[in-house]
Amino acid sequence: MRDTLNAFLHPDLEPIVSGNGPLSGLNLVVKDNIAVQDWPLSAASKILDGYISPYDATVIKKLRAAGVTLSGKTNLDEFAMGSSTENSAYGVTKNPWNTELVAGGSSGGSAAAVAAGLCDVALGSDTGGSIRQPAAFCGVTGFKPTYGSVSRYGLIALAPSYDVIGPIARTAAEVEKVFAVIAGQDPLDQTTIDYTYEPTAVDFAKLRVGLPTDLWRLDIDPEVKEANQRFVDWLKAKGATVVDVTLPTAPQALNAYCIILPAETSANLARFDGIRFQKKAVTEPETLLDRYRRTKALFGAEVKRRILIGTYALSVGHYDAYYQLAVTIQGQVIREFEDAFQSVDVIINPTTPTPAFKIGEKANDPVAMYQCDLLTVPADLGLVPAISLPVGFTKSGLPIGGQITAAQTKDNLVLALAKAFQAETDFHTKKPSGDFHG
Amino acid sequence: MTYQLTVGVEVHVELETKTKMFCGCLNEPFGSRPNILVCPVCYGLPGALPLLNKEAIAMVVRFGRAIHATIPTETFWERKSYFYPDLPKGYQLSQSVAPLVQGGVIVIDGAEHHLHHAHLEEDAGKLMHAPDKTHSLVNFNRAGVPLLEIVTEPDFHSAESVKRFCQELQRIMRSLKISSADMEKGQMRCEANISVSKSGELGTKVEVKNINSFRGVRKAIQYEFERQTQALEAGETIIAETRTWNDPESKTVAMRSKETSADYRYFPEPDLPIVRIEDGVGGGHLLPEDQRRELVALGIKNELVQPVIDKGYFDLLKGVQALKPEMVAEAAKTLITFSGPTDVETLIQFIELKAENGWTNETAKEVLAQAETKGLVEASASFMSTLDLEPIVKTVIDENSKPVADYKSGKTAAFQALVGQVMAKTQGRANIQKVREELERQLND
Repeated sequence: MRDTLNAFLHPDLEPIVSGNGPLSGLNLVVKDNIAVQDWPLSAASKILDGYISPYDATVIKKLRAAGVTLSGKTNLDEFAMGSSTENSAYGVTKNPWNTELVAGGSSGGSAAAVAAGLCDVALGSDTGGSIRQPAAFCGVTGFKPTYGSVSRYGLIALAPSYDVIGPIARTAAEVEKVFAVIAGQDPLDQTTIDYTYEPTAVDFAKLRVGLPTDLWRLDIDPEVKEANQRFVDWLKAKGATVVDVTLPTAPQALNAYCIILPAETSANLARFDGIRFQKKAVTEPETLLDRYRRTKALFGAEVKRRILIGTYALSVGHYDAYYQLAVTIQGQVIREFEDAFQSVDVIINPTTPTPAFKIGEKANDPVAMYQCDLLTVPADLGLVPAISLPVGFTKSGLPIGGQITAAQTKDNLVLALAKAFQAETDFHTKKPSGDFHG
Repeated sequence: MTYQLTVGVEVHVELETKTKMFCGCLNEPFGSRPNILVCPVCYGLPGALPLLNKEAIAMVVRFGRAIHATIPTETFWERKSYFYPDLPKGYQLSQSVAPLVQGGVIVIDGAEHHLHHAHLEEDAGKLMHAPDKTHSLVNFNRAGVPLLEIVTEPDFHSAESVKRFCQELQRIMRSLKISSADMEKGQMRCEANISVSKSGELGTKVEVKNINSFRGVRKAIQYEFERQTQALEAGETIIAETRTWNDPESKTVAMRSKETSADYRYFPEPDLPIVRIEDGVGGGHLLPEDQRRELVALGIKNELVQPVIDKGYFDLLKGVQALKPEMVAEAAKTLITFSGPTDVETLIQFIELKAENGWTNETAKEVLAQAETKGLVEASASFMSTLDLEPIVKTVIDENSKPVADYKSGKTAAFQALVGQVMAKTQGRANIQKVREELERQLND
């Protein structure tokens, strides 16, 4: 598919129509770090330029069986490393609400394609917020399921401890339809759990809502905070009990994430060594070291940065101070979520500290860029389900996302609450103006 | 003062599972066309995930229990990172913190050899270098084959004892049905860490790789012992290094120095679950040492004990013992002589028939050969002692007047020649005892 936002990669791909099934007629696009047989799989990296996947990811197999139409592959930060799609080797994806702004990332292409009306549903992957943050920036609904409820087989690894595939759509109802199909244990992924999706309904009289003070008091844009406060007010008006909860370690989650992710990724990316994924044969003889050098030089700057950080964090003499400490922090994050969900059913907080920002604004400040994930990363380390849904707009007309988090495997509650909100509000129905077809 | 040799060994054994360690590809790396037995997982394609092989884990637990090692209640795999063209993922799935086998002891004729640990990992592919050095090829059929790495304590003090240890390991692998552990095929590979010193403290460690025969194990260690002893005598310092065994030239050659140790950056493999090992899984297996002790107790001759075990007749003999304990020693002899019969009842029947009919070994072999198609009962029918010996013996006496005269004049050796003549005339079918009796009867008439 061709578009004016650079949401799509490989624009010449012909849609693949599957047979009849519960999702027949659904136009679905796929983040280009998920394998579709006989389609290119680039992870938006030069290093995979020309690579065609010989097999389907498990989620793609399931979606084909359910009858979807696969209509294209979407842009992302290279190997899903980033929060703005600016790290794509194939250029930034623009935000359909304002093309001067980023669409978010790393699933920026997927979120922008949904927002621009170029597809019904998009698959994204979330490791630190890569589904929810671009969904918030683009005014759509993005769902990160419980870790292990969806197979990762065929997803190019970023941080396998947290990676999870999830749907992005305009409505929570569409997200739910796709999630119900892709969820479940996979014999090809031994980290998947025994899980079947069963929808539920929200009983507001019994619903206990927690507001994590440790996250709400962080540096959050006032307009974003306000819109989320109105979301909380709506919950109160519906009869839910709203209380404060503590997640004292949650603000540290991003620090731990910035160690564990590079550590895992430094090993994940070692396989791109120019031995088996060579685009075309080199005619000039070269030594093995030259081959490695020439190949690895194809990685972008952010990827190189994370490989270096991860290699350092795992090295003798640094392992305990960095990697082991980060793992300990993650354990604490998991326990604090478990404790919190003893007293509340869901946790509400803004998805992002700010609305979408200008292209280039944070491109040279990696730490500022990492801060985009401050409010989304805790759910990844906690392995719990979380959704971002539109809860308002800024005065300048930019969408604002709110986040609902629940305990592990309570994906149905997250989706049910999002559906209930969307049944009574119209933020998710607003569309950016313009035609984004290319 | 004499120099003391100290050796610790690392032995890699390829497990003969049906499929590879982390995928469904067949584990048949020998003789297959290059790069045929590969899939997204063992070829390291983007997005592929490893799957644990239960059969391989069970084999290693069996080994661990048999050698009285500690089996952890939980174990997990780690990524060991290094770059090499035969390593598809750029890391090897291995174990370092919680190896599946911890400690353990292997006893050989009473001598104890202690293991540090043994862990389960995956093999790499195989590189083939063009002789003119213009290029190298990689075959990934072997990539992902389950590999057991056994690491001993440094408690060997002779080259011969290391060789015997490796041979014993092979027997253990075979008796536990884990691997044929054929060194020539690379199913079992040995690396020795060798140090020489005078003081009783350990000397500088030199690692010798690429030893691919039992004879090579002994020769390589002996060579290193002599080389290091000579160097120390000459006042030289031994360098910590890795050397390779050059078998055709019978010498070790320096490969690389070990001044800086490699950092493999191990961390837990996030793509695999933690594995829980149940109590009591994989116990109850007899090791060759136990089998040797039992066979000696059964009265089997010392020189037959090891061959009986190596040829896999231990269980057969236990079967004979259960039915006819007095026949066990004869059964061992029979099995080594005839390589059969390999079921308990037929073996007993064969021993009885052979004694009854007085078959020579040649006759017995013939009976067994025919038994393969006809069955033992029918095959032996034509070798039964029902021949009418009288006319045959008479003919032999008539045709051999000289030996007959010799015998009658007291030269008893001539009798044996006459027995041979009768046996020849009956094509070995006659009962040799009956032949003797009939000869004696007619000669003394």
